[in-house]
Amino acid sequence: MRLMLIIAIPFFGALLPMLLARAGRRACAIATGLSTLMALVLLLSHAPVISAGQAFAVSHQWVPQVGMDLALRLDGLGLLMAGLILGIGLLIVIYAYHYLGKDESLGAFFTYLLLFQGSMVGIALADNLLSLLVFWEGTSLASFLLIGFWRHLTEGRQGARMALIVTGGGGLALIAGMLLLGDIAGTMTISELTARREAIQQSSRYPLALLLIAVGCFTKSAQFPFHFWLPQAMAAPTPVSAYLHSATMVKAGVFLLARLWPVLSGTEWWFYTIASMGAVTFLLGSVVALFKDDLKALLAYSTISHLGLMTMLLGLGTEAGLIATLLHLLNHAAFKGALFLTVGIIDHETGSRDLRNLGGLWRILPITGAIALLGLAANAGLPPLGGFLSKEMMLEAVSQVSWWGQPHLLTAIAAIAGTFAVAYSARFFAGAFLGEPGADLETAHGPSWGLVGPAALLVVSALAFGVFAQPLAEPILQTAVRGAMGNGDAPTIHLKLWHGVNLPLILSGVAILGGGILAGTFDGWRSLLKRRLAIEGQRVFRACEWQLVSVSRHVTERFHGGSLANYLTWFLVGVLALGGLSVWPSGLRSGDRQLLPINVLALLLITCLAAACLMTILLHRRRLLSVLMANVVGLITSIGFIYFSAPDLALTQISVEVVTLILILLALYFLPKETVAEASPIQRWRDAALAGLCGAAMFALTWVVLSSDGPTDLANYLIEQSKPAGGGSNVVNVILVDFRGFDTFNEIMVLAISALIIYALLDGAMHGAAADKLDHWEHDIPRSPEKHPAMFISFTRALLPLALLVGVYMFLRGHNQPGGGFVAGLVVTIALIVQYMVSGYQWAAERISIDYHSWIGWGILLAAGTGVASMILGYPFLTNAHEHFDLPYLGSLDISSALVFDLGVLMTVVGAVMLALANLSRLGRRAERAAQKAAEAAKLLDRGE
Amino acid sequence: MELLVALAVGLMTATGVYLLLRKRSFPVILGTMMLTYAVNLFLFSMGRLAVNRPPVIQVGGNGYTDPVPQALVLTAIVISFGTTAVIVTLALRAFLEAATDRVDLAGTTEKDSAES
Amino acid sequence: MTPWVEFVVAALIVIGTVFALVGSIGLVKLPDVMTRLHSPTKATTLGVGALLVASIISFYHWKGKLAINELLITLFLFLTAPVAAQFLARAYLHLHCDSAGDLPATNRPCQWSTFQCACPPDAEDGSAAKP
Repeated sequence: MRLMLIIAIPFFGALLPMLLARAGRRACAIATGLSTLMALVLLLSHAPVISAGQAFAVSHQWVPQVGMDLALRLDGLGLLMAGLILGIGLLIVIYAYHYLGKDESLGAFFTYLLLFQGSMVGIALADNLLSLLVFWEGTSLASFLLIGFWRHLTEGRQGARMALIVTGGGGLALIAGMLLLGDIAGTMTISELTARREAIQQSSRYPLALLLIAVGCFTKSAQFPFHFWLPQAMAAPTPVSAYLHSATMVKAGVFLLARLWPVLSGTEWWFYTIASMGAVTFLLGSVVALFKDDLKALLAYSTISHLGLMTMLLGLGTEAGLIATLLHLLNHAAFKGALFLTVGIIDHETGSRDLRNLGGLWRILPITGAIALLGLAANAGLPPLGGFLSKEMMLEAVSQVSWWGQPHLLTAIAAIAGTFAVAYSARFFAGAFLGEPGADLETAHGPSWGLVGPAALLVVSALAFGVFAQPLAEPILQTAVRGAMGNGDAPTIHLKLWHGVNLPLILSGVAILGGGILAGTFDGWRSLLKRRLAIEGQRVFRACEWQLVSVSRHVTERFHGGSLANYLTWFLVGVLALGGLSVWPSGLRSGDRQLLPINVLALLLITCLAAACLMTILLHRRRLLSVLMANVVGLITSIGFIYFSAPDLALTQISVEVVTLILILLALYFLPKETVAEASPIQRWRDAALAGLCGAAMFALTWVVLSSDGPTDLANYLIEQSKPAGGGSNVVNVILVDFRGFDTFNEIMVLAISALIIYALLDGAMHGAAADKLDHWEHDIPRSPEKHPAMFISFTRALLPLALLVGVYMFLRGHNQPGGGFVAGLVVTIALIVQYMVSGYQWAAERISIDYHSWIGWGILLAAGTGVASMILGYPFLTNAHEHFDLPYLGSLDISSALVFDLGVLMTVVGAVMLALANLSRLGRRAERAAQKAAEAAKLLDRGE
Repeated sequence: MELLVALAVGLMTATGVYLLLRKRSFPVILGTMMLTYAVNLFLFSMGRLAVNRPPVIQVGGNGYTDPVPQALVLTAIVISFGTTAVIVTLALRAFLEAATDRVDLAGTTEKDSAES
Repeated sequence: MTPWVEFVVAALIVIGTVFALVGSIGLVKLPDVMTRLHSPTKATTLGVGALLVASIISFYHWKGKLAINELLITLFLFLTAPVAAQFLARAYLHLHCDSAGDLPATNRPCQWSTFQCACPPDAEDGSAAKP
């Protein structure tokens, strides 16, 4: 359980800085530091037992179907890695607190940092291939956020994106590789893989799995040819670079290779993939580093080179290689972390990190200079530092292996790379700290202890790993190696600085001498080589990225270029094609249901319908006429509903038809009355063909359904239950207000929301360009100045009570006879809106004192209230209660709580529709007034002349 | 009779699709109206057709047609009014703001001849 | 008694259908909008009216109940048809006629109502009447 806490603390701790962001920078930093410290202490409390050769394990089921467990296992290797992550993490927190500006959001930064930390520790401790992948992706995401932390910097954003794409892409390969590996081994538990080593390595899928895993590790650890993202990621704040890009994240690839070393290593495939790429990266990195003027870029390539070194060592497949790797992992984290922090200090204090501007900093920043000197010495592999130890071991391990049949090739590469490492280290130090200070560096001031302290601590440990190798580095290494080997028979390790004069020592000497000469004469020949060495993976990446973007843009413009007709064409063609494919082999077949006889009236109606459809299309440019034709179609549909035993539908359809017509006519007041002919004949015929196909498809579908029998269970059940359970004999209404009441509730919500959208759209038109247009409105067709024709007024006013009565009647009988809240609402709406139309907005608004907004609200509240009431009484939401009364004079009456629900529906419908229509007419009134004023002005002008 | 209903659905769909493919907002609105009719009738017909059997329970009724699609379509009619109203308003507002009622981005720079 | 009722109902149906037919022919044949307007309105009033009366009588006689529905239909038709016809006529006037030239004078202080908001209060002097 304590193991789980180690991972849980950073993740939960990540919440704190965000929450404490208002409490100040210090609080954020303390919360982060404490989280890290707690996790570190917890981790180290396991150390004594682990160094005795034990391991802790804990496992929880996560997704057992795919073998994914949240399994953690803490062994020596994990302890080393997690210790580095948390220990350096703690120093980074202190450093970042002092490094980042006062105005930067430290809360967000520390949150990202802790998320990253948790994911990293997760990788170190994971014992399940799949949960390791989850943490792996977690580091990619967190590092994306951290690299792009300065989001105002273009390079920061680009670097973050590139890092995410490269490591994320590698992550995909890794997922495939891990799944393959798990499939070959038959288990997803990492600690069980070692026992199945033979079976795994003999599998025919082993090379593929290895390659995929290698791609994942190479991208993460910035190995050639995926190394280019790391220098780009240097746009991150320096604490991030120090943490992610030297000490921890880039080591994840190396760590995973070490983790899988007992399982996968020892084959030709392993050797030639891992060792070769490592060697190439090792050499390439150190050569390129020499040519970099930006200190961070120099360190980035140096890191690439060192990562290559470790990868190469792992690739050797020998125990010596593994031991050297782990020692170098430890050393490199210490000295490279210190160096990055030093660069951060230089940058922070002088505002520059370019070797061409810097110089003479020794006088201004002596302590920083000393730290840098020690760090660089370790980097170059000078005694007595830890770096020297691991380099000697590396040369020793390499010299025992022949590569491509050449016994000394690898050793030579290592020696050359080592020479360049000495050279760039010397150039770094000489360029930055020696010589005359640049003119603009005079203002530089001494750094605070918060910046120097962490760097000093790291470099001191790098020194200690060398000087006190035996008491300090040896037990750590021994534990780690024992963990990495995965079995008890790990060799005993003896570290000492002096081995006597042997090949590695001679090579070291040569490297130091050669490196010194290279650095000394660098300025003379750099221009010769600079251009040739510009192997820019970045450029390739950018070109690919650009190509991808332009292809996507092309595709987007082709399919999504702003033309509705185009979208719809593609969509419809796609739907038709898919539909066609799905019925392709068998085709559609009509069923054998007994059909209803065709009668003359139906034939007549369908002829009318066809004519109306045709006229709608032919007349669609004369808008008023085409609306009328479309309404004819709607009316014929409602006649169809009546004929086919759906009186409720017919009522609703007719009333909706009227309301829609009013709405569209109100809109046409403003819209152009004619549509210009734009489409070419070809386009028209193409559209017609597509429309015809769609129509044919719908015809076929409908015909297939209608000619076959369907299930009737649900219908019969609802019809049976309608009276006893719903208390109403109109089954459709009982379904609406009772059985499926929740649906109806949501539907009136939709109606209410659309009414509010309309209100917002129309209210917005009262300002800005739209309002301006309204205020200069000119009618495009002549209008009668007489607004309220007397005959119409008298009729409609007389009709109002009658129409309202019809509404009430429809509402009350709805539960048992065709009608109900929807229909009643529409009838009431029509009754009201006619008053607006005939007598004018002003007149009607004065007399109809209904606030439509609150009607919508009360309607929904009423509907919800009935539902909640039934919940309070202990029944499910919207359970119906009904009672039968025998009233004197009025006859029998069924009262049902559904009636209240239906009242809510009615109120919402009235409110929503009225809100929409009344606001449209408000718009019209404004335009009308403007037009009238213009007309009067014109008339006055006429008279004046 | 079923054939005629299927034919009606097909006809209305075709009309709706053709109008939807026009370039101005108004025919598109009409097209959605037409499609609404078609889809409502289509949904309704999923309950199969029956004459003189309204799902209103009465003594001595001779069977009832399927009420479920009717309930679905009833709300669908009201909701489609809501959406039609929204797009009508949207078209109106767009016309007032942009002085054109095109529904595509192409060629908005050329003189709009329909503009009044 | 029954044959008389049948006779009356039959006669009403014949009258109704004949007028409906005449109205339809008129809609096709008459030369311009204003004259064409007459045929559907007359057909509605007399044709449909007669049919509805026939329906009322027959239902009362054979089913023994007073048909409210037909009465209501009649009422609504009589309310809507004139209003609709009036609107059609006014729309035609506005689209095709000039208020000054084409229309006969009203011989009153006011103009044709459809071309004027309301009768102006200063119309007594007759200035607005003679354009």
